[in-house]
Amino acid sequence: MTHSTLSENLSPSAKTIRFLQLFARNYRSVELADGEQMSLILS
Amino acid sequence: MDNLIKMSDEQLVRSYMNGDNVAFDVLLNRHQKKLYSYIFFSVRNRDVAEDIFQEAFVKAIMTIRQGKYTEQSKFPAWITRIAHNLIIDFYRQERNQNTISNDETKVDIFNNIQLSEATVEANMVTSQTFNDVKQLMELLPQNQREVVYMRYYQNLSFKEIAEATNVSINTALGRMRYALLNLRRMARDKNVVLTLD
Repeated sequence: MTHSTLSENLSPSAKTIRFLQLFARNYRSVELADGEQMSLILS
Repeated sequence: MDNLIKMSDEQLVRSYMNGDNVAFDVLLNRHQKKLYSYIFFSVRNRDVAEDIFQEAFVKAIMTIRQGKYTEQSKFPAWITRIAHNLIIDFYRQERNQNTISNDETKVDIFNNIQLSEATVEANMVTSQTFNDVKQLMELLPQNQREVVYMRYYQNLSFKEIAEATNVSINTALGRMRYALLNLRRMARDKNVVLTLD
């Protein structure tokens, strides 16, 4: 069994971080006339 | 940027809600390691941890952007709760929970002075002991392991742990007590000294 090293904080990959930064910038939520919300990912 | 770094989590969430994307970057940077470590420690697989971490933040982004972020509790507790729910989903899907849970056990261990939180906590925070404890923690059932992790590594209160894991404070406390009981038993079995007295 391999033990995780809790004292060293592990990090997610740079690819995941980059994806989240892009997603955070491009995600939009629009409220439609009937009150429903529509999600958009801008490119 | 300097201003953002000095902001509280709640201020950063509000700034991001108002369109400041860099505020999100700061928030992500501030919490990524602790959250990822918590997830990785729970699922013990890098790929799964990566997926859950990403999904937790995607959910957080969507909630904030939709103006639905109304949390009274702190951001770390909120994002940890999202991650916790995803971890539970993962275990449900995998049906991989083949360890013993003590949640339903009726044995009353709470009157044992040796298990009182103050006694055990005081011993556990010693760094020498911590190294042994973190290895033994791997052997705990998932629901006990995460309570210990949240309490000692994320410094969440029992109220925050209860909220993050969708259980009552008593259940969170009970899981901690069982975790400590198990740690003591495992330490004894493996001849690991948990106290420095």
